[in-house]
Amino acid sequence: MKKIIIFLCILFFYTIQAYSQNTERNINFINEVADKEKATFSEGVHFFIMVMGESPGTFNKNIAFLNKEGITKGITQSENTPLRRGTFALMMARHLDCKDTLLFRIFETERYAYRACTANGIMSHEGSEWDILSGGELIEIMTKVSELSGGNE
Amino acid sequence: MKKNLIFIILLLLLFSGTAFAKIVVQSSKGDAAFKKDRNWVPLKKGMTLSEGTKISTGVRSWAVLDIDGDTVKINQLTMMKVFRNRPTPVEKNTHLALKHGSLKARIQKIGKLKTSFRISTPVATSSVRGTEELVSYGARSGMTIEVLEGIVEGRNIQGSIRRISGKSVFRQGPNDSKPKNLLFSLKDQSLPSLFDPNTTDDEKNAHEYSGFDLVNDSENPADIVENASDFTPESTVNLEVTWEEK
Repeated sequence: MKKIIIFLCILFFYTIQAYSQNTERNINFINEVADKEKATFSEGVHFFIMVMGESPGTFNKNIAFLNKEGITKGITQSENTPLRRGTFALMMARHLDCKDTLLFRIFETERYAYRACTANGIMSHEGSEWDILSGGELIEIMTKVSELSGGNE
Repeated sequence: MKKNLIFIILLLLLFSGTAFAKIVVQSSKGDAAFKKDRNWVPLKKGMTLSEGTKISTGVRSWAVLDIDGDTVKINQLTMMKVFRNRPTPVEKNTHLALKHGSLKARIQKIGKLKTSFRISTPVATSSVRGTEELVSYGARSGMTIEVLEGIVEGRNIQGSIRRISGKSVFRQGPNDSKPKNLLFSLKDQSLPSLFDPNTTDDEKNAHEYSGFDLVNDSENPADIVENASDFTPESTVNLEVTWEEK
């Protein structure tokens, strides 16, 4: 009986520690990204995994998951490529199923995904799909995406 | 003896702010943490925080703080700091700094207690006295103040002040010299206005206030009826209705 109690205490301690470390890792990641002038594709992917309620892993693992979900289908960008608004809009439009835009439904390109995202108020209409996202803007967009998925409840 | 008494009273007055200050975590969900030294420590219900504490929340996470009776909900993906919290028996003075994300604050007015509750972002500051507001800041959209109850004052870093109440919304863009028209949120945002690059902020504001009234090219009878509210009560509107027989 004594051994079981000790085992449960150790298990509880490690669970709490793992939870704290996970929180610290996630918060550190968000605050590091927030200060960046240019966000990278890898950071966008990492954020996407978090918003989808999954635990982020390595870049390849995250991409494999998003490919399976059909979000990064056809997007072949390397880890450190600066994240363009169009690329991210395409991922979001697929995730949020923005099929109400006819041209996006037909062509499914970054250009029409960006138009769909601006029409739905997720992205600002100032600028173009070729603009590089800053870390602050990436957080602002992900907040909206998460809110649309009930993240503030 | 008299000098000692004055010294003690002065000492008490000096430290009374920190003595009354109380920031307590009411509840939290998900990744909500505060910075202690160089580490982020998860927030827990009942925790007491001090002035100068930085708080950050993650995705699908939030925390609710009780700051001397005022309630502040820190929404998801927010980074904020309790910049100042110096309440005294005659005055409540709270100043929060919002780096990104959003805060929902409910401020209580207690009797004749002078209350100052401010939320600052890199572009503007909101100031309230006994009300409920939602303040958010984003790198692209800037600062937005929505009033849920009462009156709030929004002031940008250039000193432009707007009093916000009801459905009016304060929006200060990161590169704008003035806040947007307070009724901009009632406009259809899916139809953006395009301006010449040389258009000044004043000209843009004037256009937002007047809309297309400056160009009165309405030939359609439906437009005339729509604009009927602009006429004086004595105005006569002639309507001609024709039916086509088939």
